[in-house]
Amino acid sequence: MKKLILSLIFFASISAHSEVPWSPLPKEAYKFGEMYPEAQNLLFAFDYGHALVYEMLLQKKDQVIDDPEGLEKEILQKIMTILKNPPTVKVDEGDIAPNYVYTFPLITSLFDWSHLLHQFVLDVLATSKDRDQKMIARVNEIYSQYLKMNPTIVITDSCKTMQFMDGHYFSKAFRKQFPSFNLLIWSYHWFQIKLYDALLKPSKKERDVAVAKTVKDFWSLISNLPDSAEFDMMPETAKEAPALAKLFPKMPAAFDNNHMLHDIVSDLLASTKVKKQQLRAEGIRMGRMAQDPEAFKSNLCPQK
Amino acid sequence: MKFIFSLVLLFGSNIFAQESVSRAKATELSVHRIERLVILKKIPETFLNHISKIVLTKESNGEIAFKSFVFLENKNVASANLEINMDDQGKTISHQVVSENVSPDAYFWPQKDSATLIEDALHFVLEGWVEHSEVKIYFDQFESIELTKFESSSDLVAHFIVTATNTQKKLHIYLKPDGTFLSHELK
Repeated sequence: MKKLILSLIFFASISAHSEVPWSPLPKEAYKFGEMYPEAQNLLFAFDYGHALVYEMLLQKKDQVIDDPEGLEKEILQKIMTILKNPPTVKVDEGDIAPNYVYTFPLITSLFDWSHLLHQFVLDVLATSKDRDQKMIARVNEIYSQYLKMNPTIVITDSCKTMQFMDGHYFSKAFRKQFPSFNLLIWSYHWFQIKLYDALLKPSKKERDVAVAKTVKDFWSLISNLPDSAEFDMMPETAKEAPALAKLFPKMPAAFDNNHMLHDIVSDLLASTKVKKQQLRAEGIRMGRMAQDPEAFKSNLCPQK
Repeated sequence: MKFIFSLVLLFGSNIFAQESVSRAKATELSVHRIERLVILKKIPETFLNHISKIVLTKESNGEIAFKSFVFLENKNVASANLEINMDDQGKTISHQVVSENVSPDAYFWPQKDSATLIEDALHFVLEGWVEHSEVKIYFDQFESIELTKFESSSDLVAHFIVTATNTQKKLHIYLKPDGTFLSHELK
């Protein structure tokens, strides 16, 4: 009986949390948020926002959108409200976007897993006293855990060309229909990337200033969309976070591939060339491509 | 030790930040700017659908490092329809629409617009030189790219002619209308 109850509790806990477990958690886990709550909450808010947008687009899938500008305004308003009143804990995507999680099972797992990597790298950088070999070794240890603990849901760190994001029959649909929202997402990618370099400043004082400036610059980027965010393309990690790229050369591609996959999901959902019943299969195909080191492999990393 | 790491971080950052982009990369970035301008309705959609040629020049005019001259399909007009000024990182500083004139019978590519096809061909220049050393000169000394169409065994083909300074030879790139790479040759 005891075994049965324990089994039920175990399975209930699995079904309640779709997120892939990282076990044991690094000792630094979520310490970044204790030191920089405003930045951390923005990261939580965007996880929430991404899922919410995907869910909304999924609900509208295969429907004629008479007023895309109106819909964009509506989505932007919702996301801005979340950004200004962010959650203080990580929100389970399955709770707010059940259809999205159901439709994109592989991609959701890929995102969950790599978001943990993003988070724990920030945690290690934030809590390391010195920018020294010890810090580098610890980040590499976290990265190694990421690769080995759940190898079936790892996004490759092989450098891909932007064609991975833009070279498909459905590509660019999201940015064409929802340009302001797309720039909000790119601004968020920029924010995430910039935090790494902010945390690589030599002294704690400099790091505090740099993180605060990154938060401020992010708000400035999204202050008057679309004009306030002058991105022509998705920001690239090696370019925006050169210090991170120098110390951890494999990470920029891993992060960029994650970001490109986010844009791919947006395009799949926005494109009229992809019907609702195709989404699951296309999601798995694209997810596999994100994992495949040979797919859209770049000869140059970063491109010059 | 800490000092050395600080230096690594500092110089690492500067190396990445100050290196100028290649001419081919600057051209590709100008295509991205065209796309943004069209999407934000700041220039007409014809600049996505009917680009026939882009010419890039290197400048030494203060902040302006590159100028991208964009031509629309129009047999009667020899001057550029759009000019884009960029810094040495390929970031647009300003743009100016000179004219929106396009031939009434200008071709609509069926799967991808002309700007995206040009972008796809430029990706071959940006990446292809690593495997095909003969393409390197077009990466470093890129001058122009022109898009035309022809039919091969009733299949539609996007044909690009790329020129570079310091060489008379032209790089020909052939793509399917969906942007899939077919082949390249020098002649």
